[in-house]
Amino acid sequence: MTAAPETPRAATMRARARWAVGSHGSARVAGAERRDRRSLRTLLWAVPPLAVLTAIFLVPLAETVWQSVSTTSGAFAGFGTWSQALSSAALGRAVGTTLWIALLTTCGCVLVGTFLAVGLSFVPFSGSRVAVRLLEAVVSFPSFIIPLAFGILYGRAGVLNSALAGLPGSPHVDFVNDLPGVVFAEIAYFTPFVVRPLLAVFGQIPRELLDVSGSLGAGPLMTLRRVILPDARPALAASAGLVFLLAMNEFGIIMFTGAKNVVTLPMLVYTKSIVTFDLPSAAVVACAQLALSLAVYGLYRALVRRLSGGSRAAA
Amino acid sequence: MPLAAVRCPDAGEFDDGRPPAVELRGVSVRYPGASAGSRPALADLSLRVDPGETVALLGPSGSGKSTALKAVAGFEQPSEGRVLLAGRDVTRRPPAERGIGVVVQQYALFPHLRVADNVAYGLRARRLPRAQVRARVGEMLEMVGMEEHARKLPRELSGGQQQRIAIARALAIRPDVLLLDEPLSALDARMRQDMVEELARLRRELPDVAMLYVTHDQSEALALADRIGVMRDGRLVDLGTAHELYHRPRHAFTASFLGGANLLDGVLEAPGAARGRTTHDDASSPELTVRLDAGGSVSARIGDPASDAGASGGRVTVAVRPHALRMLPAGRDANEAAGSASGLRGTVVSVQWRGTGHRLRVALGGTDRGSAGRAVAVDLEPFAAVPAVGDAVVLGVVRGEAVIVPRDETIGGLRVPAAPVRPAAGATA
Repeated sequence: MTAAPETPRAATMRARARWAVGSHGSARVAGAERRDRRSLRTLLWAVPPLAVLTAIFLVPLAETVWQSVSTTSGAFAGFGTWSQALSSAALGRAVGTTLWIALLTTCGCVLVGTFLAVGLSFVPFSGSRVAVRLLEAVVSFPSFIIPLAFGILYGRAGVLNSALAGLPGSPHVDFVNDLPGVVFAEIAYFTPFVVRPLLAVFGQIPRELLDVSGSLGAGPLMTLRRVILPDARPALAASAGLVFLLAMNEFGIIMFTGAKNVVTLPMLVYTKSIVTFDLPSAAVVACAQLALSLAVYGLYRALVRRLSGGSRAAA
Repeated sequence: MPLAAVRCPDAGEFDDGRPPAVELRGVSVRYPGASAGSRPALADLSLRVDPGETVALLGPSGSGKSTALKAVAGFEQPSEGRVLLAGRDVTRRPPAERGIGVVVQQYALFPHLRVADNVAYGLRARRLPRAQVRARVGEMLEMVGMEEHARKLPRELSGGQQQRIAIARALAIRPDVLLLDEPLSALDARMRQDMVEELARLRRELPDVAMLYVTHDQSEALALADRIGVMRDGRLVDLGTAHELYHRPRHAFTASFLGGANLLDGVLEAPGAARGRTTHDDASSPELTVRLDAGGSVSARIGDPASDAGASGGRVTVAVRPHALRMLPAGRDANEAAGSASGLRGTVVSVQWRGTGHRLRVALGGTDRGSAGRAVAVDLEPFAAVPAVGDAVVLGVVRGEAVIVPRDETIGGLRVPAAPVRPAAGATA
C-alpha cells in the first residue's frame, strides 16, 4: 500500500508543529541521553572497586562461612559443626579471655595514653617533640617486636632476671609468658593509638579556656577534670573503641609472648585450622569472632556518634 | 618615640590609705623564642589602677595591651618588673592565687557545662558550700539578666548572652579586680552598644571593683573608662582622662588614634614663644602660629605644656580633628570665618556619606586627586552644602581645636606629605 500524497498545506502544518516543539523537545531528549550515559559511566566506575572488594573480602568471607557448614568433599553438611563448636567450653573460655584482655588493654591504654598526652601537651619540656615522634614510630613497628623486647628484658632468661639472680634470695619476675605479659605488651603497642588523637584534641583546646579556669581558682587537676577531659571525651571514646577492636583481634603479640594458657579467639582459630586441621570448627570460631567484632564496632560507632554530637560547643 | 606621658602620679598609696588595686612597676614581657634584639611584647609598663577605678588600655593590634592584661592576670610571666595586687607582690604567683576576674574576647565559656555550672565554676574551685554556690549563682545571673537561661548550654546562647554569662562567672568570685580583654569585639555593632550600657551599669553597681579594660575601640574606652592608657609598639605612650587625651593629646599617636585627628606638619613661626611653658591650664596656654608644610598657616595650642615644642628648630605637628575643620565659602577670608587658619586650600578627592553626615578627603596645597590616603579628613556640619570631587575648597579650623604635638615621623597614614611646600595662590602664610 502506498501512502496518499501529502497536500502542501498539511506539509506546512507538520513543519510548523515540528518547529514549535523543536528546540525544547530535542533538548529534553538530549538531556535524557546525557543522564543515561552518565549513569552508565557511574556504574562502570563502580565495577572495579566492587570486583576488588568481592575478591579480597566477600569471597573469602563466604568461603569461611561455607567451610563451617560443608563436608571435606564440598557438600552441605548442616549446622552440626556450629552447634558442636558453639556449645564447647573452649570457645566460651576463648571469648571470655579475648574480651578480658581487650578490656584490660583498653583501660591501660586510656590511662597511660591520657597521662602521656596531657604531659606532652600541657607540660612542655625540651624533647617533647621527639617523644611524640617516637610514639608515632611505634605504630609503624610490627606488633611482635614488643613481646620480643619484653622477653629480652623481663623474660625468664632476660636482662632483669639475670641482674636479679645475683641478689640474695635470687628474686625473679615472671609475667611475660602469661596474661599480664600479653596485656602489658598490648598496652605498650596500642597506647600511641590513644595518644595521637588526644594530642590533636588537646592542641585545639583554646588557651583562653585554661587561662580562665586558672583565674577562677581551679588548680591543674580541676582544670584537667572539668575542662580538658570533657572536651577530649569523643576522641577518647573513639580511640578506646579502636584499641578494644584491635586488641580483640590481636594475634602476633600473643603468639610471640608464648603464653600457652592464653587462648583468645584468634589463637583458637589458629590452633583449629593450622594445628589440628579442623577447618570447619575453625571457620565457626572465625565467624563467631567476626560477629563479635561487628557487634563491638556497632557499639563503638553509636558511642562515638552520641559523644561527638553532644559535647562540643561554641567556645 | 617618647615614653609614656603619664599625667597622674603613679606611685604611693591611694588617698584613703588603700594601696592601688593593680600596680605594674616597669613590667616587660618578652615571649619565649623571641630574638634578643627584637622588640618585647610589652616594654617597661608602669601603671596604677585604684580601687573602683576603670582604666582602659587602648591601642592597635600588637600594641601590647592584651599582653599587659595577661601579665596582671598571671597568664604571662614578666621578664622584668613587678605586678602588685592591693599592695601584694604577685609577680610569681599563679593565676589561681590572684583572685582576679577575667573576661576574654571569645567568652571562653566551658562548652560542656550549663550556664549555671559555668557561673559556679570559680565558687566550686573555692569549695564553697553548695547552698552558698546556688545562692551566688542566682544572684549573678539576676545581675546580668540571665536567670531563665541557667539550664542552657553556652552554644544555645547568642554572643551577647554568652558575654553576659562570662561577666557573671568572673564576678561570681567577688574579685577586687576585673580584667576585660576586648570583651565586645566579637559582637555586632548594636549588641556592642547594648553591652557598653550594660557594663556602665555594672560599674555603677560595683563601685569597689577596679577594672582594666583592653580595647581597640575608642568609643568603648571613652564611654567606660575613668582613665585611658594609649599603647603603641609595646609601650604606654599616653595616660590620662578621656577629656585630657581627647582635647590635649601630648603625642601625635594619641591624637591620631583617639579621635582620628589629621596630623599636619609645620614650623612654629616663633619657636622661642613655646619654650618654658609648664602650666596645665588651657586658658594660660596661648595660641601659636604654625606655618604648615602643606601650605597656609594655623593657630594652635600646645598639647603638652611641659614639652618643649620649640625644640628641633620649631618643627612640630598640628593635630586637628575632622569635625574641627570647616569648609569656608569660596572667596571669604579664612581668618574672618574661622579665625584660626588661613591659606588652607585644597581639592576634594573623595566624598563619603556616613549616615550622620558627610566626610570629605581634601588634598591640601594642590590638586592631588589620586592621593586620598594622604589628604585630610573633614567632617561636614549637618545640612552643610556638599562639594563634589574635584572642587577647590578653603578650610578653616574651629578656634581652640588645633593642638600642637611633638613631631613623630614614625606615624603614617594620616600625615600630609611634608614637602614640597606649595603655597596655593592667595595664601597668606
